[in-house]
Amino acid sequence: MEKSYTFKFNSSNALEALKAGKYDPIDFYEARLSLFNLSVMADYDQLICLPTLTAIDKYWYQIETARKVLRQLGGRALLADEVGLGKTIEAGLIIAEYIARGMVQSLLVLTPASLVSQWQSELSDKFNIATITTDNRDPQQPINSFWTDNPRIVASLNTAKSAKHYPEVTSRNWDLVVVDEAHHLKNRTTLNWKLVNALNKRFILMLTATPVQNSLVELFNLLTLLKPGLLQTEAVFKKEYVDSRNGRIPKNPEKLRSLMREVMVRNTRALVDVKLPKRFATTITVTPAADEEKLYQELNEYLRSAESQLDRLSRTNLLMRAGSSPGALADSLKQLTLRLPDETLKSLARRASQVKQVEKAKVLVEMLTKSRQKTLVFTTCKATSTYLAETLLAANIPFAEFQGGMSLKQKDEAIAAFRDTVSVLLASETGGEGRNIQFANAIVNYDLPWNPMKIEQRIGRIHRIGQTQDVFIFNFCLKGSIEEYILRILHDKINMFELVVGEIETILGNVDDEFDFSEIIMDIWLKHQVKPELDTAFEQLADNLLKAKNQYQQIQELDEQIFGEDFEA
Amino acid sequence: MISDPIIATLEKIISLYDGIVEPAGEQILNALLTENIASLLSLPEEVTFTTVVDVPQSIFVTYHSEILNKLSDLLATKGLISALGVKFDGYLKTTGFEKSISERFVVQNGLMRFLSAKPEITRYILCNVSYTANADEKRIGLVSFMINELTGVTPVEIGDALFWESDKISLDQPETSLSISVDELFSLIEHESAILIGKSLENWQAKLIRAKARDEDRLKAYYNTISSEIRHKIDSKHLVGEEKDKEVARIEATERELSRKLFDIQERYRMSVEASLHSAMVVHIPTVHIQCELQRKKAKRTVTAVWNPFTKIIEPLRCELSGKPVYDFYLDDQSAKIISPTAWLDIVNLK
Repeated sequence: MEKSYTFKFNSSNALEALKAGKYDPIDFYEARLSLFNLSVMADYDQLICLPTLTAIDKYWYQIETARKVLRQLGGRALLADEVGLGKTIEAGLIIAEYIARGMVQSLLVLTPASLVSQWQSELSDKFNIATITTDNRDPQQPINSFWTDNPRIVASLNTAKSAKHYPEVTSRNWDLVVVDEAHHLKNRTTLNWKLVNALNKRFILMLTATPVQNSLVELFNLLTLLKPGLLQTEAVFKKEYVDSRNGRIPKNPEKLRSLMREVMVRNTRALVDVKLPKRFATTITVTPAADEEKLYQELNEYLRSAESQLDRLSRTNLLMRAGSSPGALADSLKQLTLRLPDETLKSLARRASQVKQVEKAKVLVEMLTKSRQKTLVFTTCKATSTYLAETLLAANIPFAEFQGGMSLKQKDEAIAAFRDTVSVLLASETGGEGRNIQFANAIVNYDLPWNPMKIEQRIGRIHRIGQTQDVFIFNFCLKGSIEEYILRILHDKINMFELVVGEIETILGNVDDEFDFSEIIMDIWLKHQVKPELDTAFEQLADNLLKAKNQYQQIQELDEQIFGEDFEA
Repeated sequence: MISDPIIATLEKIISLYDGIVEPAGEQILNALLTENIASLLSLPEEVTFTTVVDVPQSIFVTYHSEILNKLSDLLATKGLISALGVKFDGYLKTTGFEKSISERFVVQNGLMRFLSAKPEITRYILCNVSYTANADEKRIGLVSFMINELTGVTPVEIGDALFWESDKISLDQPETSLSISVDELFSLIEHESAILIGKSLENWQAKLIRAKARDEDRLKAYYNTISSEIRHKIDSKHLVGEEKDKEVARIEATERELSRKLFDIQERYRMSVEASLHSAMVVHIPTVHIQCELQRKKAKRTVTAVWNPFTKIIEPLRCELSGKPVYDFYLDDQSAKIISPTAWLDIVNLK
């Protein structure tokens, strides 16, 4: 530090004035300070949006990235951080800064369909940026007025490129376009690429952790969208920069890198120096009691045969609740019988409410009795949580509760109790969101969300910066349940619990653009009734995911070779 | 209240110099400038400023506009130092400090005795220090901190004393003489700003160190490969005499080249920072001054501790060796000087 850093304090007019006691009215002082602040803002030395963004953890490299894109790259950039470093936050910071400076009024975010609502809520909750999406478009509104009347839109790439929407989205001007999962633009002959190329845009941000998947020409295609002409024509690019025998190997790498630096930022975990402790996952498969097992089987028989009576959402809901607890199932069944007076449903509801001995709860009590660790017990359903609260109380295990509907004060108290006095926090899906609970190092997924990203969010509550101890994850499931199969795939086959946060999302995206894990497993579950068939179908799904994981790892290695650490903010 | 920072600043400065301003929305300001200001800015007296491009017959102002530079010149010697009073409507108690002093301060090798307490104004100097840091790019910034002008403690908090506009009192003729010596004050400003600026540049500095290490590794790997290839050539071809000398000279030249390039890298990633006091505001706050006696063996002296009603705490005293704020301290034998435990340890170790 000594040699590489020098500090000099100079005399100034202000110092002299202080010495001489030369005072001016406060208005002059404030004007002088305001002027200086403008000069700090001029070159983005200071981001004016930062003080207003209180709902996010802002890491220094994200701020550096935003500064670099604003200051050096002129608002046209490929954000290619490694998975899990927060490209969305970086994009959000850039959007918020442009909006705060009045440089951006209109915004278009293009994402895969599965991420549309996530983008909308992140922009709204974390950056106070209201948007409308193609998902919640009023069907009565004409398509052209949807695209022209709304200044800030989050759209599915597929919708935007469809024949009905394409002419409208490309006919207006956009101040800023953000394309998430931009590797979908790698091919210049696709409609995806043509759409983004045709947009009238001033600034553009493209986000992907894997800019090059198969060949360097993909990079050419992406960078041409950002800065047309930067890499000249495809023929010249190939001749100048691509090895003629292998399209993945750069020729003239230094020159290529120096050009890429004009449009690209790629932060690596090595730069960020985030060393998270290990995480260990254990599946706890509980053998259900006879009445539990019978109930589960009969429910499944009903769901498989009730395709014409029950919509898909209701069937999924019932099965998820059955995986949570008999109480949660009973609640849903009772609700359902109100609008669908079906004798089988009524009988199932009755039997679900009669189950008194819940085996999963017994195992949980045994586990918590022996454990000394601060443990976060997640449940999805209120009824399950209520049942667990009663069970823990009866077992004399002190605990605190953190539920979504609680007031801020109650939530604070729950966290304080968990930190200071009790070892168990019974939490709903939002449990601990936005709070520092890294003092805990064990998680129990008493019921399992079918969406792997939700499981990841739960783990992320404690496996994050600030965690110093190894993290233990206990996944509960009933033997023979759909959750058992889910865990077999996610845990045993693709080792999801050992992946870095964010990787599972990329892997699932590699299977198919619109791949929806929970829908696929529900399909398989309802379609196959006998165990061998179920085993084969889930095995097939696991193989596909494994292939996607391998493909992701290969791409990651390729990108590591091509980009290394040369594009850090 | 205009939120656009450029328009808000223009409005403030033009009004200060007797112009008339009328905002027309968030990003447009209609102004009637005085003759002097109009001539300084080379603009007509009646003018519209805007921060959006498509307003006809207006002056488009950005963060880089020359107008802002001209206004900075205008304020080059104005608004450097200002003073402000703060109203406190509550009652300033003068009792009970005997107990709180003994609870708050810990004198490790002497005594601290309460003498008296009375309401007094304390001046706090809000220092704004601007800096320019140069490395692979140039960045400017500003750090602000408070100094208790009586005790010299910095950084010090004043709570929400400046929060309510209605509690601020303008001071026409503030007391300008300082309790603390000018040299000591300047040294405090320099010392504290060096710490805060260093902190604000930490991430950038870490990034530079990392980039430097990476570049150095690459250079070393590259030039060492060349050198080892030459060595290999000497061995495999069994070179002797003039031929060997020629190759050895090539190795030496490679090593010199490596040293030169390493030096270049050091220069490229070196960060130099220049800072200076940009402006300061002396805030006059009603507080309670608590007179206490410090005693170490035969050495005795009186010090003043300050209770601030806005923070509701007794502020720390200042270590007279390191300048750090302290509640827990030692006293020296000669004059009962306040010494922080760390500085005390250094003295003990030196002995």
